[in-house]
Amino acid sequence: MNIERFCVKFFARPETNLDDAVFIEIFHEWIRLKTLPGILLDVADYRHVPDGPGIMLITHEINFAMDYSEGRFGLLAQQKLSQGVTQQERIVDLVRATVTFGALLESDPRIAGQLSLEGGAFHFLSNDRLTLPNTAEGFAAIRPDLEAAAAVIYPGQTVSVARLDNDPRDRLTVVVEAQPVDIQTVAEAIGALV
Amino acid sequence: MLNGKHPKSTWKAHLGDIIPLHLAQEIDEFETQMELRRQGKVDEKVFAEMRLRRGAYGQRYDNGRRHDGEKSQDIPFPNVELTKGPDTKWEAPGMQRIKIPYGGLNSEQMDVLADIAEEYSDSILHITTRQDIQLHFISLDDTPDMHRRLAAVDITTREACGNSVRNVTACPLAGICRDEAFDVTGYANETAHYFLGHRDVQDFGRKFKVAFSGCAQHPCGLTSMHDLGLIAKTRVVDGVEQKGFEMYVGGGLGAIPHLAKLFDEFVPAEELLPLSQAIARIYARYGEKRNRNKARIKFLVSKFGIDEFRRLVLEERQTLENDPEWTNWLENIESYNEAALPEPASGEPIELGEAFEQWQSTNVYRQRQAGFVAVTLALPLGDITSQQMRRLADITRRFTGDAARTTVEQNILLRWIHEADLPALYQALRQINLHASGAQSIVDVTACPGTDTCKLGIASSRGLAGELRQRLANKNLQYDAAVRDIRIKVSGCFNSCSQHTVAEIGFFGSSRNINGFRVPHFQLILGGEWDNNAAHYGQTFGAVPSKRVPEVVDHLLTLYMEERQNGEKFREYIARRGKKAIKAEIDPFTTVPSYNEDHSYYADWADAREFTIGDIGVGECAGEVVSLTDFGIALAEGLQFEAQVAVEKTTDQASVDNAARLALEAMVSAAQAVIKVQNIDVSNDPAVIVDEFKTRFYDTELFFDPYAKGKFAHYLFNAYEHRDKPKTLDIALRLIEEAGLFIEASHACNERLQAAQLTAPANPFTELLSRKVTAVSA
Repeated sequence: MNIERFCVKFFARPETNLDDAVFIEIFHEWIRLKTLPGILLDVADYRHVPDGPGIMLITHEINFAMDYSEGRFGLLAQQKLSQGVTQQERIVDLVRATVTFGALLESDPRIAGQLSLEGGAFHFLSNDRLTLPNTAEGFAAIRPDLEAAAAVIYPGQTVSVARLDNDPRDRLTVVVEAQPVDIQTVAEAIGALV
Repeated sequence: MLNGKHPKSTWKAHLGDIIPLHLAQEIDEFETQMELRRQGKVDEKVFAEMRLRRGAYGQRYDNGRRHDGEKSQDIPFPNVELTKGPDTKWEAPGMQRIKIPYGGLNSEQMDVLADIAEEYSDSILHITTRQDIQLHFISLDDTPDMHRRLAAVDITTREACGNSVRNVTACPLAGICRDEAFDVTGYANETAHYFLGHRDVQDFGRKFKVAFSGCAQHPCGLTSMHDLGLIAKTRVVDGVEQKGFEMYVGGGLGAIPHLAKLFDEFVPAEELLPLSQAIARIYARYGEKRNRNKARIKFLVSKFGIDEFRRLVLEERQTLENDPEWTNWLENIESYNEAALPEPASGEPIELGEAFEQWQSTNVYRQRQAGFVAVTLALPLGDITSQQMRRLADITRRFTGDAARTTVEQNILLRWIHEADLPALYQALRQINLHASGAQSIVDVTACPGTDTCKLGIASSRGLAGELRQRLANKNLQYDAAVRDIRIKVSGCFNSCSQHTVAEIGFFGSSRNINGFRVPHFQLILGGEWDNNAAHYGQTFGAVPSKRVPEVVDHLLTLYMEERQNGEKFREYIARRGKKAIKAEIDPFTTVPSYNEDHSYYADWADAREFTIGDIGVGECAGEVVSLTDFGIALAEGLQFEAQVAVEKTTDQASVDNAARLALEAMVSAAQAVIKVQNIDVSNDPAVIVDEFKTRFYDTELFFDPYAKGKFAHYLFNAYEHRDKPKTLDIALRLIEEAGLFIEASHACNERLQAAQLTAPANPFTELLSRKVTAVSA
């Protein structure tokens, strides 16, 4: 499989409770200080949109969203440009970038324990319906890459890789699930730049 | 929509059999121009206008700089030297505007719009104040595929921006309105398609906006603020009812608003297109081209006066040769009639609570057809997610005859709903969070993109609009009969994209320097009239600090509710109190605490950075003024490039023939472009083009190179004369080379004509032109 445009989403744990406005200040600061790798561009505010992408940090390579789609709050990362040679590398790279982002956010003093992201599971979403459609064949095509990536992200664990039963017009969505763990722990395990 | 394996790995291949040929060719040409621009073979200014005419707009920070609140920083794009327009980085995210004529959408189109918003944008579709749809944070490299996917469901982005006829808008209630003279849907759509790519609308100095309304008294069409406004009317002649339009011309908002002037009290439907075409030709011929601030048709109408303008147009109308496309659609106009589902879609009646009753009171319109209603979905700031759009497509299929419309108030209207289906529809909308009440009321605040994404934005219009919307809804003002019909519209700058001038309460962004600090402000506009097709423009009442605007709105509404007399409208109340008295009411809200006291006043809504106007760039609303000749030569370059590609890897006879054909086409296309300097109406027939080129540019020696003289013109003449002879690879390669030289000579000729400042199309003084250019050449 060779797909450049895809997303991953890590969900917030139930104890998360904060005013999204704080993300605006943090993301602007990250742009100013170049806190994350990549080319950081802008902040987008979609708090007014129900079930929308919330506050976004737009970068040249990835759009990060504090996202409410499907009625579940979490950190969504939308890969636009990939560097990795293999699909497995590209998936691991995006997960690494996302858990880096999540761990940094959780540790920001302005968040102060109000945000907790579950690191032991994530959704993979194909964002290219032509290359990787929402079909059984599509799932079969990406499954080996996801399993190989999961072995790197969650070393030594039994990981479930299952297709989400959604509307065929929606994006192919795969649930990758290991043992519950803090996102900080995942970041450390895969050498994220925290 | 894809359901299985796809052996074809590109959208071009996958949709090749589905996209109409002419649309496919246009998109291929644009993709070729993109490649040529990457190679530096197309001028950046010419390319900017080309992409604008494909709806691919620039976005804030695309000059590669962004102020971070402390200083302006360069954005280190990987290929920073590659540009898509003057001072516009190729890799910077941009905006895609998608034209939706009369706002008409079906469910299949909604599905595709949802898919592309998800895959290429940020999963948000934004409805504009001209019934378009916009996607933001787009990579230019993705646009050809995006255009193909849209073309496959009959949507074109052509001329969504740039100096041409923009989206043709129409009242979203057309066909179901209780007060309309007749349904204007078909007339709007046929007008849109007639002018799409029409040669007479390619040489404007600025954009040209057309709007249709079914009646004079409601605001849905906003005809008074359009370049060309048409209000449906009927009259009886010899006992036969005749359909036609009250025609207005020269309206517009922007920094200098103009109310449209009455051009004709009754234009019969048969004359709609020819008369509009004559107006377009007069605008193209006499409109300002160099100063974009004076280039809209409103300035031309003012300059000539409506009577002289009318005389010129009617004179021009007489010169037009009959075009069957002016009227051949009229006999099928009834095909635009929409139908409902034969029976209600829902089963047993459902009991719903107060929220449903409130929603009905603000969002439901009873159609003139008994038993049917239309429902407005109040989209916050015009935004809808891709997931919502996809589910809305399902709802549209389930409850309507598969038709919806976008509105100029940045909402979506579902039509032809059985009244019995309202509870089930409400439930379905509630499931996707599209059940907000207050559509088209005081809480339904309209905003342009402002500093969020617009290069011209001064202050955060969406930030302010979101704040106002929330505060007003918390007070349930959408249910208060006294104030609910007041419209609030917020623009990020004076250009009036939110249509703030015609709102009862309008704002546009500005900036003030206070003790050495920049403070975001909004100019307050009061007294505009939304009703009667936006018949009155409001007046400014001074600048208010952005963070104090909610207090100002509160105060004005309180005053109005306490002091209004005999049910007077807000506009009437403002007029009665007078500008001086109202200004005195607002003045206490214009003070700003010192920076040390409260620095929140020194940042904008929804933006943590200290306020600056350092990010304002050069807008692309006006497009680039690129002549028809520049355009045509650029297209010729694309054809010559394709000829090279044709024999790059394969040299079989079919490829050789194709390359030779494309090389000749490139020369003919360049010749046609050069002819347009003198004759905008040049034919598309190659024989006529070659002949006319010879007469106008070879015989007069206008095309002659100072050293090579007529050599390059002979390339064209020889290639055309021997066009039917068999071609070898050597001949094809020679033709390609000659085409390249001919195109260069065309550029040079055009530059000589420009240097002589004799570039106006349709210039009748050929002899004079010839003498002057020859003198310049010498």
